[in-house]
Amino acid sequence: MKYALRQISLSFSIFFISCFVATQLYADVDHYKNMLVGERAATMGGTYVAISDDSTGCYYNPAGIAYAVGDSLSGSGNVLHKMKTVYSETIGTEDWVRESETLVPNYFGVLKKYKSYSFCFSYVVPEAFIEHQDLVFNDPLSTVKIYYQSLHSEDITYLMGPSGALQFGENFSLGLTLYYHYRSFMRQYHYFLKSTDGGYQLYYESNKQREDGLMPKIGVQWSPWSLLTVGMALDQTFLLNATFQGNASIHNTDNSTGTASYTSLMTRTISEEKRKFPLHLAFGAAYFPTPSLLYTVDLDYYKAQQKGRADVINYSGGTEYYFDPTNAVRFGLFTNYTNLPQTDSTTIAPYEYIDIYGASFGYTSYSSSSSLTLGAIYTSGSGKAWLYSGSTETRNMKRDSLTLLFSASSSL
Amino acid sequence: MNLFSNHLWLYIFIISFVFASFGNAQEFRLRAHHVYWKNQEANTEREINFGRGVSAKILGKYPILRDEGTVRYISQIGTGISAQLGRPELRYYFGILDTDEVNAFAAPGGYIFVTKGALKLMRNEAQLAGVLAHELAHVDQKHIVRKLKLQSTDRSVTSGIAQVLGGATLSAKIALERLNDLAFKMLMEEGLSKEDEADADQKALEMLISTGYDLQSYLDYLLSLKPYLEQGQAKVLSKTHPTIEFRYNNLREFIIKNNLEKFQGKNNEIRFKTNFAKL
Amino acid sequence: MEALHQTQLNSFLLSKIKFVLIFSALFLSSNFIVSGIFAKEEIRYVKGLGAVLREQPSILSKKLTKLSRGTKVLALEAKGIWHKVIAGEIQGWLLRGQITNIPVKIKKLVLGQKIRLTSSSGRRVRLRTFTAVVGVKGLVDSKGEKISPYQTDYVALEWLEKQPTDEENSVRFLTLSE
Repeated sequence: MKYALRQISLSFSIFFISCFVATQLYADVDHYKNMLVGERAATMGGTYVAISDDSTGCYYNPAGIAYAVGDSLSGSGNVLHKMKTVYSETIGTEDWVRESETLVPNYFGVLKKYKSYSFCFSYVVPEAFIEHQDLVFNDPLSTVKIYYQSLHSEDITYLMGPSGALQFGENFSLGLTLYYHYRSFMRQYHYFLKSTDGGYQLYYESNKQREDGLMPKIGVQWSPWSLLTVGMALDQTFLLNATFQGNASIHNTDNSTGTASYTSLMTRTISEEKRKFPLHLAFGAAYFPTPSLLYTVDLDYYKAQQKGRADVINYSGGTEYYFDPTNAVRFGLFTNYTNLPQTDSTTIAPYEYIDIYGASFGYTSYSSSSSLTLGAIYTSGSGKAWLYSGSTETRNMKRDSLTLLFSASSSL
Repeated sequence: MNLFSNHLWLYIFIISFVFASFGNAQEFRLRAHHVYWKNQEANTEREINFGRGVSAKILGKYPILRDEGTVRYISQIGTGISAQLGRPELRYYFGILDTDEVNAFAAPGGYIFVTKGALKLMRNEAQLAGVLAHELAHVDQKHIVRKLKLQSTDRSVTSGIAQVLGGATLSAKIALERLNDLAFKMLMEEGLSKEDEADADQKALEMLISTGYDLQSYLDYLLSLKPYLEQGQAKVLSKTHPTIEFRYNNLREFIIKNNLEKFQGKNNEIRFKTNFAKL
Repeated sequence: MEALHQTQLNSFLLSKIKFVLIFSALFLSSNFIVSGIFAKEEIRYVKGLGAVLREQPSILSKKLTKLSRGTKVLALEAKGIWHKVIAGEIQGWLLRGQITNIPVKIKKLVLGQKIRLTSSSGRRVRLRTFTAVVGVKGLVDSKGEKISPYQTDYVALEWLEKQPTDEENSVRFLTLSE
């Protein structure tokens, strides 16, 4: 399919936009921290490995749930996640804007304690990306009269499973989570292009990917001194099944040589290739000077297992402050670096190299047995995109996202 | 092979259960809302409400001595002690029961009663301070509340029966009334356990040290209770407390263990006799 | 070709697992060893109105200073009825009954509300009304029988609660010795 396109695009201007088709089979697997999970963690920049002591901790460090205070239930009512990517001067001199907006409850967890053991069951949506776009361009280039593009893609990953943790003495705990991983991706892309010489191109593509697998996660937490905890967690996702199905068809009428010629192509791709997830090692430290204040930092190390991916280290830090026993605020900062290897002069489309930085803020209102949290997470990044099939030309890109979260917890 | 590696982690986890021991709270992890609701203002209000109910029953059985001067004297001693070592969130009340029985009661929420008979038996202010301190300790340590399982002693933030105490429905009010009866009956008849009494005695000594009172006076007072037990005149007292020997020996051990024999405290005998001349 | 790929995958995973196991074992064992070594420091608050900090854990020891209610101290070790603490720069011993792990700032809030409770606010009136009614009529169950066999006297209780108390004066009264 790729080869066929290259052949066709060569007969048009090099700034032909059809290469977008080849961009990104997957919505955004180039970054590991696109969505933050859990009301307390998300509002602290996703920094939770050394804390993790409630029903939202199963995802970050299962060892922490050994220190949960009583049984509880936690759920995020709604998470509004908006992402906007702008590729400058991409369609002729126009910017190409891609937006995604999802409204999804991204966490649910229930925790039960028994003596020094804790059990939890949680449901997490760590990735959710829904994009829909209809674009019409009139005379974007001297050779192109009309360009119309319609794109719809959805990429959602679900995790669900049990966790268990136990304490050893007062200072040490061990935990395990076993998630079932399920991902569903679909994308439909259609464009129509009419060139000034009367030729036109009609393209349709439909992709579908399902994968399921297991994500075991093991964690430990240790308190070397009172008021300080350190944590470590290790996980990796192993796919059991993966099916990819792609259909593409193109119909082309070429008038450039003076006489009309027609081409039609239909391709079908099926693959069962399972992508290899990185080995994720997380380290965290948290300092609890008073019952009203805490500071925490995390380091996430992802060791790539797949060819074409690079190792990533993300950093994050957060703080939580209680004005009084019923009102608390949180603040956090985090990095979301790309897992694609560094680029050089030979880098060719499709490729996007963008590092993203984020800040989070949240407020929680507590009552005797429940709490309500409102939060906002903003991320921003800039980088370069290789968008034109077969070309090393780059365009600047910027990506911003805003997440608004609303969630509640209750003791049981 | 992938599946095996998953199972391996599971095996490690299961095996580690063998080495698990009982863990305690990491107190520093508790956030402000945990700490606050654990010592809930709501729970304190409920405890006070409950204590009032029990106190009302005590006062239903024994009339109160309405001598403001004498009551103020006791109250000053008692409040002074509680200000130093009591629970700051409570206000303590000290009342005198107009009866010749020899006894003292503590109801949850800070209501403390001493009988006229007990006051007549006392020789000096140190003995009075000791008795009040003992009752204060019962309130501070929540012995009654715990005995009736009215408060969870673990780290959980909510407590089942405590919610009953706060209930507004009629059935909740009836439940509250029944609990009051239970507590009253317990105070009058079976009393608290040997351990709780011994604990209250020790805490009382700590309070006496802190406020500068002579310790031996309190022990002398305990001894002076003995004839009343043997004569059966204060049959009630014998039923509600462990033996005097047990308490006396326990206290002597405590004094020796903590090197308190050399401690010289005051007994304010003159002030005491002046205030209780009328009795 | 397929089989070779599988074997390579196996050995790769095995090495990963070995790494994880060794690392975890080292990490775990070091935790057990080290956690026994360090002394635990804890934060406590002075709950008494005037707590005397002494040099040694003995009532006859020299007084260093007096700590006010709510002072935050760092508690070190316990010895009998004494507790070694650090208050600001000074290290000394306090009676264990004089400190608590609940921030006394929060207690003040409760105390304030309790004062409201005792000064005839609306809530107090409601409380009084209910208990007075109960006292007079007695709660009855659905069969019309009295719930409690015991008499109550709320009037006497209210008289008792009206008696004035003053913490500062009481403490001063207490410290007088003949």
